[in-house]
This record gives sequence, structure tokens and C-alpha cells, in this order.
Amino acid sequence: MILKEITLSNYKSYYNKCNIKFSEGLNLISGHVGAGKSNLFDAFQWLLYNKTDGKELKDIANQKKLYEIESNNSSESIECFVSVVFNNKKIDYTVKRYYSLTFRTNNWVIDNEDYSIQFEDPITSDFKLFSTSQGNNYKIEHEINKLLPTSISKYIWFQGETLEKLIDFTNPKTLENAVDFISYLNVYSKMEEISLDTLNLIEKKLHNKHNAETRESNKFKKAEFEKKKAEIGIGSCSTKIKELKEELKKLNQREKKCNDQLSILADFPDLLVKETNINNQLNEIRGKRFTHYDDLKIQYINKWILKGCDPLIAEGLTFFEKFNEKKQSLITENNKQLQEGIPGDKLINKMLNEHVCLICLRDAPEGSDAYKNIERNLDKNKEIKILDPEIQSQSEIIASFGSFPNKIHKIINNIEEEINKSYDKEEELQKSENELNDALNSVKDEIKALEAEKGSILKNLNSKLISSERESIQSQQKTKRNQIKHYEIDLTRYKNIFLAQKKILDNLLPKSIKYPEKDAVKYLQYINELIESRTKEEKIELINKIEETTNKIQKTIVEKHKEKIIVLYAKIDENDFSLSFVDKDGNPTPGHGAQKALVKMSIISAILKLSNDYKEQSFPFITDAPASDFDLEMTIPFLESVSRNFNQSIVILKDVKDQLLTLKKENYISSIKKITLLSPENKSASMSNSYTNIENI
Amino acid sequence: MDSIYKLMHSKSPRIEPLDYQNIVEKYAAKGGVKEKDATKFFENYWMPFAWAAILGFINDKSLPLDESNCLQPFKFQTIYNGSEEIFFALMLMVVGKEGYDILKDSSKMTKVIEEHAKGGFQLINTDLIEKGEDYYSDHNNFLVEILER
Repeated sequence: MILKEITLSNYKSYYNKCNIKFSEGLNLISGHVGAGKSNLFDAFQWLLYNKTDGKELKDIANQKKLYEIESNNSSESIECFVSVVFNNKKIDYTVKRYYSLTFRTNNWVIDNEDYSIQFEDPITSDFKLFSTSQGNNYKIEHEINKLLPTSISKYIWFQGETLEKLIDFTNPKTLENAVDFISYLNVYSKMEEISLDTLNLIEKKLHNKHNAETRESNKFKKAEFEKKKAEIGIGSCSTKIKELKEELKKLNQREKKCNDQLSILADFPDLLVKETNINNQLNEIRGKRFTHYDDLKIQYINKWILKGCDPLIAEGLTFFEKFNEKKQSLITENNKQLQEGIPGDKLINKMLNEHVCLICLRDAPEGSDAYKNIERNLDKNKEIKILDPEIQSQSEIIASFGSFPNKIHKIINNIEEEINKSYDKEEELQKSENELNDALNSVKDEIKALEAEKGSILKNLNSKLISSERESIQSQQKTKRNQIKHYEIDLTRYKNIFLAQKKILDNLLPKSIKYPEKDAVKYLQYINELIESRTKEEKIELINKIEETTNKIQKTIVEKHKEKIIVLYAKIDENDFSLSFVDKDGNPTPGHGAQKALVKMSIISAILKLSNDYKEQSFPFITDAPASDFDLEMTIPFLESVSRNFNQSIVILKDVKDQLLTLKKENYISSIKKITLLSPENKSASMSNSYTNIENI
Repeated sequence: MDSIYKLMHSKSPRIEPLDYQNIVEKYAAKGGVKEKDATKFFENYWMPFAWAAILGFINDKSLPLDESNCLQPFKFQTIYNGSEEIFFALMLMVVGKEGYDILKDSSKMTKVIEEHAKGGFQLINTDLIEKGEDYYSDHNNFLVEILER
């Protein structure tokens, strides 16, 4: 949609009829303070929204015109109006707000007042005119709202000086509402509302129906209950049967495996038994060899080690003999000495019996000292006390060898024979082991050959274990089959019950009510859930789009003017729609007024641009004094940005004086109009003698 | 009453460290070890000593001991407890070599046995050098040595 022209007649500073034509692209209107720039903006506000800033109609009429009529005391009526022509989808819409004033008896009287919209019907091509004088207020409002939706208008008709008031981005609702506008969320919301209402109605109706039906059909209820029970029974039996069949299948596989193994083993049981037997025998022989080795070690250390010692031992014994000879000669000599000096035992015993010493013939009564002296000499001549103690000790030591020399001699004599016997035994055991090893290797070779033929599984098979496993499997199979049979009987029973109850229900159904509403409830619930989730997703999606588009606009601004200005970027929280400012690296930054204003402008641009993208509706962007904070350096990038983002824009600027000619050269500007306030020469300007003049540059 | 046991039981024969390490420890399991070591032919340290001493006597090879650092891992009582025959045979062989007068001096008897054991250890070492260090790892070779005497 574009704004083709605006006509102002005696509206505020616009004297008589003034027409301004606009083209696509950027239309720039510039003027100094008080020249009537804001009046032009106010004209839009009055026309479209009947805004007069609380002023009466007489007060928004051109004062110069009023003064002229009053001065001449004329009865001439003054026509005051503002009309605009929008072109939307190739159709012209003329919107006009009008009133006429007449000066009667020193008073200004409103004669006529009208608000109208006229256009050619896009479908019928009929000319349409709706006006308040015809009582078509609603239709006018409807048509205007179609052209300029209220929710977006604040972004279209935009007054920079009131930016903070008009568009409060610190209030998260602002952006949320923008999102609502851009999207079809309102439609969703309405759909949800309708759907919920419908849902409530249906559920209520359903509830009533159900109650009525329940009351009437206990039989139906019972049959349904039985049918449900049978259904559960069928389900549970089927599951159980399925599980059991699965288990049985596994058991069958295991049984097959056992059978396969046993059939393989059936060909070679002897070999395996033989192998086991040989292994057992080998173990036995090895045990014997081990025992033999232990025995050999004992024999070795206790006996055999002495082999070869006999000459030396014999030598030792020779020395013993020599010693004994020496000792014997000493004893013989001593015995001779004893016989001469000491009486023999025979005589002493006679003295003791007769109680008299036969040597000195004195009495020796028993127990007396003389008796004891005689007694002390008994056996004295039998002891070899006469030997030297050293010889005596040697004699005792030699005697302590006892029979060991003989024992050792015998041992030594048998050593060779024993060793030979041991050798024989070892040989015998070794031979047995070798034979068994040969037998084992031969069996192993046979097994190996059979394994090569039948597969390696043979090696680890044990027919006894496999047979026992097969028996256990077969027993389990039997149990499972019985269980399956049992459940199949139950299943048949439940199926019969189910069919019987279904029959009863089928017979009852014509009398009962089917509930198609139930489906409707389901669908409506689904729609509501869908709307809810879609709304949430779309809100997040759009808020991200606003942020993205804003920052894209900001980026294009900075790209061309990066040496002159530092641009901020917008960061919009997708959860609470709050706006914050960040630098190019995404770090939070406070920024200053003009920078923030530029971001906000870009947000507005983004909202309108997205609106175009989403709803295929394009709007003109009309702003008065876009940002008072902007200096020329900031204004130019802003204008460039606006020209890029909107099909049509009308920017009313404060007086840029000398810059106008420079701006005119810029190819992104379609038209420049200069507004001045004209007043008579030699007189100071007042409202009653001055008026706004528009000049194309 | 004196006896050869009484005379000798408390005496400990000395063994030179190298012989102890290369032969005694190599062929005998450490006394008191419960687990049998199948790789060792002798079960006690005194056994290889007795083997060496007998070899020394038989071959009439006696060598003086280097007095320093000798080890005395057991007493003659241990030999007596292990095998009375070996104990008496050793004593008889000492008498056979030295005459019965040696029975007066237990230290001298001990020394004679030690020196013959050293002679025997040298013979074994020669065997190991000539026939290979693993020669006596095969128990049959102990029997071969006996049969070859």
C-alpha cells in the first residue's frame, strides 16, 4: 500500500487547499521550527483517528482563514478537511474527514461534519462510498482498519519526539504485541477460543447423553463390561501364548543343538572314552614316577651317597681295632696287678657271711664299719678303673659307633643293586608313560582327523552332559506345551465370551446412542494442543526474526558509515520479550540516546518489514522528527536504511537547510519538499496572518 | 659316657660362601620350607655338604678353607638327625684318614670334614664346568656320579 497524496484544506497552518503528492520510495519533507511539519503529521492523526489533542474543531481550522471571515463579517462558510488517497492492490481509497464552519452572530458554528471512505469494490467494481452522514460509521472503521490495522498503525504513523512514550520497548508487552500483529497468533487465539467453547458445549451434551443412555441400558453396560473383560483376557492369553511359544522356540533350538551334538558324538564315543582313560592312566603313571623320584631322593641321601666310602670306613675300623688291641693289652696288664693285691669275691663273700675278716681275724658284725670295709671291696677287680681317662673316653666314643659300621658296610654292599633296581623301575615307568603317550597321540590324531571331518565342536562335547541337558530341555518343553495348551483353552473361552457379548452389544446398539461427539472432542482437544504449541513456537520464532532483522538493518547502517558512527545491536529475550543493547561482539552495552533511538527505529522497521513478509501487506512508513537526538551524521544512515526497508516512506525532518541540496543528489530519495511559513512582509508572523507553504525541491 | 654324638653334635662345619651359593643353595631347598621344590634334588642344606664331603674323602681331596666370611648353616646334630648312617660314615672316614687319636679333638675332626667338603665342592664345580652348569639339574646325573665312583 502506498500513500498517493494528502490534501489539506484550512487545517491548522494550511491555508485554503494544499495538496502534496507522494511517490514510492523515500519522500522527505523538511522545514524549520513552526513551519507546519507537525501539523502535517497531526493531519494524518486527525483524519484517521480523529485525534485533535483535545482541541475543538474550530481550533484546528486555519486561523488566517477564520480571521479573514471574521474581519469581513462574512457569512461565507469555511470548508475544513483533510483527505488522503491510499493505493492498495491497485485500488484507490479516498479517506476524507470534513467539516464546515460558518461565522454567525459572533460565533463559529459547525454546519456539516462528515467522515467518509470511497473506493471501487475490488470484486464487483462498483463504486463504494461509506460516510458517517449515511450512518456507515462501522463500515468506515472496518475499511480503514483493513487498510491500516490499529495494532500496526503506531509503527506506521510515528512521531520521533514521542518515541519513548509511543513505543515503550522497556515494556515486554510492546514487542509481544508486535509479534501478535505480525503473526496470525490472534487468529490462533480466536480459533482456540472457539474450539474451547465448542469443546465445552459438546462435552456437556455428551455428558447428558451418556447419563441418559447409562440409565437406560444396564444390560448394555454389563455386556460392555464382560466384553472388555474378555478383551483383556484375550490380550493377556495371547501375550502369554506368544511368550511361551517364543520360549518353546528357544528350547527347540537348544534341543536341536543337543541332538546335533549327540548325533556327531554317536560316531566317536569310544575314542573320547579311550582318550579319557589314557589320560587317567597317564596321570597314574606320572604320580608313580613322582613317588619314585621322592623315594629315589630318600634312598640317595640315606644310602647311595655312601658308595665308595667303604675303603676309608674300613680304614677307620682298622684304627678302631688297633685301639681295641691297645686297650686290651692295658686291661690284661691291670688284671694281673689286681689279682695280686685284692682278694677275690669268693673270699670276701665268705668273710661277710661269717662276719669276720679272714685277713686280720677281727670280728665284723653286719652293719659295723669293719663289715662295710669288707663289703666295699666286692667286684672291684672287674672294673677297668685302672685305664687312662683319655683312653677310657676314646674307648667310649668308639663304642658309641655301635653296630653302625656294620650297618654302613651292608648298605654300601647293596647300593649298586638298589640303584640298578631303581633304574629298572624308572625305566619301566618311563616305558609305560611313553606307551601311554603314544596311545594318547594316536587317539588324538584320530580325533583330530574326525574333527577335521565333522567340525571342531567334537572336542568339547561330552555325551553324558549333553544327554542330561537334552533331558532337562525336553522336560521344560513338555511343561511349556502344557502351559500353551492351557492358555489356548482360556483364549478360546475368552474369544467365545467376546463374540457372545459383541453379539449382545450389536443387538443393543441400535437402541443405544453412538457418540460421534467423542471423536469431535478428541479432535478439538488435539486442535487446542496444536494451537498452544504452535503459538509458543511462532512467538519465539518471530521474536528471533525481529532481533535478526533489526540487527541486519543495523549492520547495513554501520557498513556504510562505520567510520562515523558506532551502532548498537538489539538483544531480545525470547522468553520475556525484554530488549537489551549489545555491541558487535554481543557484549551488553548501555549506549547513548541516539544509538538507542536508531536501534528502536530499526526494530520498528523490522516489525513493519516482517509484517510485509508474513502477511504480504506493505505499509508506508511515515515519521515526524524521527529522533530529536539525531544529528545529520546519524540522520543520513537512518534515511538510507528507511529507503532500503520500505516501499514507501515519508520522513518529516527538521530543517536541514544547506543539506537539502546535498540530499537531493542522493538517488535513494524520491522527492524532497520544503515547508515554510509565509507571512506578510513588514509584519511579524502570527497565526492570523501566516500560513504554510509547500515547495518541491 | 662319652660318645661320638656328644663329641660332635654341637659343632658346625664351615662352608665358603661361593660353595654355599653355587652348590648348597643351588641344589638344596631351604630348610623349613613346606612346599617341596621339585627343581632341587636335596631337601636340606646339609645334604649337598655331605655329598661334597664324601666326594672329598673318596677322592682324597682336601683343601684348606679361606677362614674369612665362611658360613655355618647347620650343626652335625642336623646331619645326625637326618641320617645317622651318613653321620657315622663321615666320622669313620675321618678316623680312617687321621687315625683314632683324632677322636680326642672335635675341632680337628670338624676341620678335616670341612676341608674334604671343600675338596668335594671343587670336584663338583669342575663337573659343572666340564659337563655344563645344568648337569646336576637332571637327577639321573647324581646317580651316574655314584655309579661312576
